[in-house]
Amino acid sequence: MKHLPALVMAVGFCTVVSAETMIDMQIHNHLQQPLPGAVIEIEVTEPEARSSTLHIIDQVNKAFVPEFLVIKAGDEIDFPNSDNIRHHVYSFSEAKTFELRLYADRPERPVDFPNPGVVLIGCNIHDSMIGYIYVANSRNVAVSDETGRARLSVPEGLEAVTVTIWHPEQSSSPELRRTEKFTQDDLTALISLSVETLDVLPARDTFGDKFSSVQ
Amino acid sequence: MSGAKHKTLADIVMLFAIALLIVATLMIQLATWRSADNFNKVQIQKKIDQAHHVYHQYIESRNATLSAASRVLINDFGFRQAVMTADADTLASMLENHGQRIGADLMVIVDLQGEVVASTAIHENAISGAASLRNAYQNPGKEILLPLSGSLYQVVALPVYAPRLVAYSLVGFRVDRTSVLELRRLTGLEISVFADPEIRLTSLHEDFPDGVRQFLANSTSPLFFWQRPRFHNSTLEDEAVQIWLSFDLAEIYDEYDNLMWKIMVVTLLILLFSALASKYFARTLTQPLQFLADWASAMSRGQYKLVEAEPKFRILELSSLFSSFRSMAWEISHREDEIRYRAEHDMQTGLLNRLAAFELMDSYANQQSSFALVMISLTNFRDFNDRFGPEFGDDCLKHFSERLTTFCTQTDEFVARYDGIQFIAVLNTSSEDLRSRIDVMHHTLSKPYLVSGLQARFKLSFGCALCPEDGFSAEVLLRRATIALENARRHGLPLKFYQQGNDEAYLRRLRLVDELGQVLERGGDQLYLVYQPKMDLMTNKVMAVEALTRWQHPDEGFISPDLFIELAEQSGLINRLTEWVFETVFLQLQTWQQARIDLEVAVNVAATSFSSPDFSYRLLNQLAASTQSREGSQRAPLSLELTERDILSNKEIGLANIDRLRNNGIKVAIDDYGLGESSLSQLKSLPVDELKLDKSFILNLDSSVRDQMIVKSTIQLAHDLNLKVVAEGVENKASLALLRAMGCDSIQGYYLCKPIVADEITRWMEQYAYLDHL
Repeated sequence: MKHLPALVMAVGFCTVVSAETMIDMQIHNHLQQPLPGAVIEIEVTEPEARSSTLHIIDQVNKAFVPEFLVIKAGDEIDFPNSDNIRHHVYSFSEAKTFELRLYADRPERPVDFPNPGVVLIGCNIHDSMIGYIYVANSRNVAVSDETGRARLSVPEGLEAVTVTIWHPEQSSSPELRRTEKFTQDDLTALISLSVETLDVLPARDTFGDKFSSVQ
Repeated sequence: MSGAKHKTLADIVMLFAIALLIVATLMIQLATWRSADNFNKVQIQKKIDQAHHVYHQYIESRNATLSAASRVLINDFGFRQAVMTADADTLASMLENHGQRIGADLMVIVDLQGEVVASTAIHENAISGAASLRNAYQNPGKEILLPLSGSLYQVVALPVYAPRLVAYSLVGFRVDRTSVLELRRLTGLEISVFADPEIRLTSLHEDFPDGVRQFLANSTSPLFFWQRPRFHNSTLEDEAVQIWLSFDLAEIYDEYDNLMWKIMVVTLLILLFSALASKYFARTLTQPLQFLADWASAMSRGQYKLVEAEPKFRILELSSLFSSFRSMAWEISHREDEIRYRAEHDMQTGLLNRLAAFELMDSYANQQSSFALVMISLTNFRDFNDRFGPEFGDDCLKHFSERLTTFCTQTDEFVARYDGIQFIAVLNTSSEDLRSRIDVMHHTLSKPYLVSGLQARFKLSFGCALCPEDGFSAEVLLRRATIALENARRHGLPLKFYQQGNDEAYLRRLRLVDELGQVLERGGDQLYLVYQPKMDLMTNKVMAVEALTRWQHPDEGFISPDLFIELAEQSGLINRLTEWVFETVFLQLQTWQQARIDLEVAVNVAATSFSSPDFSYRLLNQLAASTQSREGSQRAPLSLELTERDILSNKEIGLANIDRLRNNGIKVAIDDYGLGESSLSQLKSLPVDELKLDKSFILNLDSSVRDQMIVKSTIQLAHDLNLKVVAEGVENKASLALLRAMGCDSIQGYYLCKPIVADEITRWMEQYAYLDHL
């Protein structure tokens, strides 16, 4: 995933009139470089009304568009096929295991993602196609910008917050979501988060693989 | 050419050829061995390289097969689904199932931490701990050799994506003896694989108690006493696995040894052939050389066999050598014939020479054949030579020789030239008429020879000695024939045969000549003079003495003066003897003069001395020398006594000598007058002072009227010619009286005094003064 596509935020807000605090966070990698594209989520205990939003991940030129998408648990994603070839989209992730057998144009219905977690999607016949879907538990989710900055608003008066952090290029398992706890005091200052990333993302080029072993 | 050190040419040629061949063959062997060795090394290296290549190809192709099959497998959706979702047992059974599909012996799923998730085998811990796999996960698709619980696997590790990397799958084939055998088939090399601790795979058939490695490293292939390594080993290391590619050199050794044996056999054959060839070649060289050597040594022994036809020499140089030999043999034999002819013949007359005659006679005598040796002397040849020149003389000799040759009518008869004017004829005595043959010969040879328009007539003397009667050797026969010849000549006879005893007298004469020469050489120690007084009948006084030479020989005693003077004359000693006499006389005269004894000394001079033109000069010189050497001496009162024959043997010289002597106050008397050829006409012309009547007329004078008449008339005649007369041999008073009556001037003889030595003369002279009775 060389280019992180523009982050599409489609988080629905229930407007509750209450006092909120803005938390600023600086995310960097293990080389202390600002890390854009990291997903930050803060767990909020208050119940939320369930609603479903439909997202679209298109397949263009044997690539998922977008490759990285943050949604809320309960949302649905439609996987239309804009290529003139068929695709076999699948995922073995815990949060959502599914399979869209070889199809063209548009599958019968969108796939729903009821459980929060990370879903890695691929195409069985095009191994180079990899997509990342972050299914958030709450609305308090943000993606770090080009400078590695992210800003979240949390309700005032919380004694402590749990911050979940995930990045598609993290060196740990791609489905692992790391959590860190912060006290009220911590929240007053800029929160600094670090993610260990892979130096090089394992590229998949089946054509090259086939011949490099022979040579 | 002798001694064991000499090698034959054949041996040298053969040795040389063989040595050359051995060197050449060794060089070829060496070169062949080197190039074969290099070739083999290159071949081996090439084969090893090829084997490495083939091995890698084989492993890689197996790997490719494995990879391709594995890839298909792990990219299968069902496989991914199972990996992601199934439980371990299900997964294991699926792996087994999928492994069978592609014929894999080992299938393992390992998570990203290297822990085994599922496996067809139960070596989970072994796999997790295998260090070689760590590297494999980093280089997916690379072939790995993995020893695993006593078995060896060729394994490929491939990542499993779902869709991100979630696991690795290990797929492997077991490497077993079949694989190794197949590798051997492909590479042509023995393949052995070793992995810790108990994996040992080899393509070799045998069982090795000491271990395969030991066998490969240490087994040898013997060549004579040289052990060559049997295998050329090349090792490939792959982590814990060792692969040995072993080139079995046995085949190459076999080929090489075979080649070497072939070369050796060929070499031996060449050696054998060259030995035979060089022997043959040497024989073609040495046989002719031996032939020539034999020929040459035969020639050195004097056997000039003339080989006309050349034996088959086959070599040009030898043929020309043969030709040279042939012409040399001819030349040498020709030249030797000539030399022998020259050695045996007299070149002037063509007759055999003295030496050849000597040898022939000796050989006849040795064969005990009987023959007569006739020696012929041409006594008057010198006159021809002197008168008509040597060329005429030579021609005369040739004619004479030709005529002489005609007398050798019987076998084994020959004629030879013995000396300048002496010839030899050897005649058979078997014929009864030897004497008459010799007479005929003498007669015929004495006939005149017509040479250059002149008639030459030779005066010949023959002396003859007989074999075996007169001697058994050429030397004795020749000497005796010469004696006979001398006798004949002395007696004026044409022929004399040798008489027994002649030779002894002859030998004595020779010995005496020799001794006389030695005596004179020493100053005449055995010689002395005696003096016989002469009385003047007018005054009855002794005024002169005659000196007579005597030889007292230590062994033989008194030697007759007639004999030794004759010998001195014949041998040429006479001049020296005469000189000695004069010298002694001069000394004696000196003595007498000092003793105031006045005596004139008469000395006899032999014809051979007197006929020399310088006799008078020598005598006068000697006289002058003796006179000068003594102070106050007077000229010696000297007279000479010569026979007519002495004077007339060479009249001109004799008369000249007489004139010169008389002019110098030396008186000359004719000695022995009346004997032999004295003639009155000669007497008239002889310029002498005195006649000495021969004692043969005087000895019996008193009894012989005839002698008295001769003496009387001779005295008368002499006085008429103004010559004094001396009579010698007066032995009695009667004769003395007669001579006194006849008017003889002086007498000499035993009646007066016998010849006595000088000392006695002095005494006698004193006594004589009182002998008035005479």
